[in-house]
Amino acid sequence: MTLNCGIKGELINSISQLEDRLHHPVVLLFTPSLPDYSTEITYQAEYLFAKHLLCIKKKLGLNSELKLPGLTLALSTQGGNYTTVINLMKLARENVETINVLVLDKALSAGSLLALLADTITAVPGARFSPFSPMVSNFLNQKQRVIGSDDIEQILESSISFAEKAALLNKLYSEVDPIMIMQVMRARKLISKVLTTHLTQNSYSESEAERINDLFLNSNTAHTTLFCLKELIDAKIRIQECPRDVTSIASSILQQANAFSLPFSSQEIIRKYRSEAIDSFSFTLRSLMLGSKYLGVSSLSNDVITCYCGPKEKVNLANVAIQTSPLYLQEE
Amino acid sequence: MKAAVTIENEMDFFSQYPLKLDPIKKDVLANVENQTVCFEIKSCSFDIHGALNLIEFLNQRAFHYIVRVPGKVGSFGTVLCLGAEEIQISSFGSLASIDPTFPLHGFPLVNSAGQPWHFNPFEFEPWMQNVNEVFSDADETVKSFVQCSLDNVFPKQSRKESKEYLENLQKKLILICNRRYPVEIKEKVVRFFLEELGSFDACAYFSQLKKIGLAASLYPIDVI
Repeated sequence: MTLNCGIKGELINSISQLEDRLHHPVVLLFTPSLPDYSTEITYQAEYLFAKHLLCIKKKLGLNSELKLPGLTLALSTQGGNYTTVINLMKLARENVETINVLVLDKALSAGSLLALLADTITAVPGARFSPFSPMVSNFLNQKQRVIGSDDIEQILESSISFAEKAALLNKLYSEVDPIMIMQVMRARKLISKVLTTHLTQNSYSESEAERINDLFLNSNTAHTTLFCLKELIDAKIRIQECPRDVTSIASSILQQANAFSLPFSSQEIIRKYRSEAIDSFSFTLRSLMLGSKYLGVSSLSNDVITCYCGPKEKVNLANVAIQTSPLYLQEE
Repeated sequence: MKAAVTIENEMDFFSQYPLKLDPIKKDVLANVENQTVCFEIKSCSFDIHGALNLIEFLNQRAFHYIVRVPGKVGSFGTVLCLGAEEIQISSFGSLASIDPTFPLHGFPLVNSAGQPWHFNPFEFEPWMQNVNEVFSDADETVKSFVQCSLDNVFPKQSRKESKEYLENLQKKLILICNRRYPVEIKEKVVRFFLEELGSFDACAYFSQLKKIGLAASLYPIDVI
């Protein structure tokens, strides 16, 4: 507990440091992408973000219906729900004049969409982005477990014969829930429309907006492809590399956010039982975290209790009992 | 005006149930003044039929009403807002889409890959149109094979029932829209929430509501 309070304090300090450097409020949006613990942006992010925005306005003496002049969303995520991301940016637009997204290390999939929907994007030199074509599970084909909406589009647009195309479509219906096919195709159209509207309103030309759409939605590259900063700059996306001091603060925020979201990795659980005279201990996992110096850290969390009663030298993860609580929202 | 009738409950997308309307109606009768009622919605309920029922109750008594939306509300709140004289919404408030696939909306079910799904014409119609366009130049055998595949996965009867249900719902929603809105705004607003906004978890904030022509104004709040 003391350990967590310490890390939380350090995390808030780093966010404050970033805020002093950028001269406007900063909200951290973080989902862990650790080997032991990896989560995504879920719909609760919208509520947590609203709580931070309202608190920032109150602390800065602004009426709730007035807009903040600027805000940076410091982002690290491997993606999540597209609709939530679109909702988040709508909420931000209602409450902030200029939204900057600062990519701390990665803004993958829906995270890339979030960044592109901002007014300005900055990123650390090693930042990674990825395509965000909505996908659907494909349980019956072991060679291709997920199908992207761009794959489905390609079946329809490919230059093969009508008969072959009809056979491919029929195979698709038998492998993927047809309702899901329609849903991802609808989602794809909506994402493309939202992105194109935002880009053209943000002084990108129609052809530039189309190229960006192609890169992220219609890409011929695999869904697991990662784009680096240079590739985005080459694609004429207006994105700036962070100065060195901001990169250094970003790195501290990431380390602290990772440690706060997963206080004990599986190896650390084993080490703790081997080295300490305990038979149980508990901690909190934070799967989705939003942080600001105004409201502290709010998160979607699970409490975890672990138990081990055997001999110290034989402890391994398989014989440690681990029980987690349902997810709940908390402010710390 | 007397105190606002607060409709408040803890629900999220996955814990939906029909609202109990009797206590709300009692509250309305206790708080009506000059034939006007003020609602404050703090609920993520998606019970659109409950909202239609409540509006009918208000219309039968010739009550007018305004709706306050401090935070995120479900499609129950959206439908109630359609008939309101005025929508007072905070900069954190939002109205949800009325997505036909949401179970509480009562669209006809279809069996897809062993799962019951509420069939959404805004999903299957563009897909079918797209497929038919792609195969428009194919020979009759291929066309008939494609049509047969489509009919297998999206049965004709289910498509028909779903479209009829949607048309009926569209008419009901247009009818309950506030009488001050011109017909074209009523149609636009209903189409926006049913089709354009997107899936059940999509929402519209103040700026978007103003843009489509709803009588919305911003109001300040202290808590969400």
